[in-house]
Amino acid sequence: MNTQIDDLKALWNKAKSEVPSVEIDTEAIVSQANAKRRSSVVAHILNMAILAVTLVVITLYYFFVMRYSFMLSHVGFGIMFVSLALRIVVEVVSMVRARGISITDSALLNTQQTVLFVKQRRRIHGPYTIAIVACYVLGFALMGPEIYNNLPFYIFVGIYLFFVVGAFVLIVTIHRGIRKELNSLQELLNLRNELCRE
Amino acid sequence: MSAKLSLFNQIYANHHQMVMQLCLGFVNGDRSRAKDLSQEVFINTWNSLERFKGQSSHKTWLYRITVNICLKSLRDTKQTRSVSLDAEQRVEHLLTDDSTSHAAEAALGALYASIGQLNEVDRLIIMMVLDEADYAQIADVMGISEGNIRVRIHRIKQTLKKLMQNEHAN
Repeated sequence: MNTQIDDLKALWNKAKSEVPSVEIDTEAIVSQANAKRRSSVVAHILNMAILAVTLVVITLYYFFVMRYSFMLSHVGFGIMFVSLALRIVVEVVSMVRARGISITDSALLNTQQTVLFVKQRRRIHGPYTIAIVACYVLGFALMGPEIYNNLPFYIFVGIYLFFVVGAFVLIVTIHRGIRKELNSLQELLNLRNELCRE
Repeated sequence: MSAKLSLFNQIYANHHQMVMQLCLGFVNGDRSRAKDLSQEVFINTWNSLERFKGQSSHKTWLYRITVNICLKSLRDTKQTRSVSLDAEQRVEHLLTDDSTSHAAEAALGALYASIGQLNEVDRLIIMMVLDEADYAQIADVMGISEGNIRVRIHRIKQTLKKLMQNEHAN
C-alpha cells in the first residue's frame, strides 16, 4: 500500500509543480482583502446605526412631536425603547462573537466556535427577537388609547392595519431565517462530529 | 514596500502552488472553483497576517486557513459530497492542458475523482498526506490528536486504494 501512496504522492507533487506560476499579483489580492474587511465593518456599523437612529428618532418624536401625557403611553413607549435598545446590545454581542471566530485556528476549534456562533444567532433570531417584537407590539398597543384620542379614526385604523401586516411579514421572515440557520447548524454539527470521529 | 506586504509576497510565492493544488483536490479538479477558493485563502491570509505569532511554520498556518476556507465553502455553496463535474468531464478538462502527458493527466483525474468520493474531512487529511505533511502537522491543522490522525490516515489510505482501483476499472 505504501508504494501506491508513494506513487500518488509523486503524482500529486508533479501536479503541484505544474500549477502555473502566474505573475504574482499580490497587490490585487491585498486591495480585495482590504475592501472585504472595510465592507464587513461598514455593514456591521450600518446595521447598528440604523437601529440607533430609529431609537433616537422615536424618542425625539415621542417627546417633541407627540407630547403624550397618559401614563399608559409612557409605559408603552418605555417598553418599546428598552426592547429596541436590547436589540442593539444583542447585535453588538453578536458582532463581538463573530470576530472571535478565527480562520487561522484548527479546523475543529474553528468549527466549534462557528457552532456556538450559529447557536447564538439562532437564539437571537428565535426567542430573543420574538420576545423583543412582542414587547414592541405591547408597547405600541399601550400607546393605542392616546393615539386614538389624538388622530382621526381612519388614520388610527390605517396605522394599526399597517402594524399588523408589518408584524406578519416580520414573523414570516423570522421563521425562514430560523429554518435556514437550523440547516446550517445541522451541517456544522455533522462536520464537528466528523472531525471528532475516532 | 511595507514589511507586511513583503512577508505576504514571500508566503504567496512559496506556497501558492500548494494552496491551489489542495483547492483543486478539494473541488475535484474544477480549476475555476479552485482559483476562487485559492484567492479567498490569500485574502484571509492578508487579513490575518498581524495575528501570525510564529508558533507554527507559515506552511502549517496556511494549511489551517486553506482547510477552514474549504470547509466554509461547503456551507456557503451548500455543496455536499457530490461533485460538480463527473469523472469523464474532469479528465477531459485536465487533458486540455498540454503541459503534461495524457496518461499522467488521466491518472491525476482518477486521483481527483477518488479523493472526491471521500467525505470532506478525510479528503482534506489525505491531501495533506499527499502533500508530504507529517502527522503532527496534520493533527495541528485539524485540531485532533496525533493518535487519532494516525488511525484515520490508515483507514483513508485503504479506502482510497479501493476507490482508485474502481476508477481504473471504469
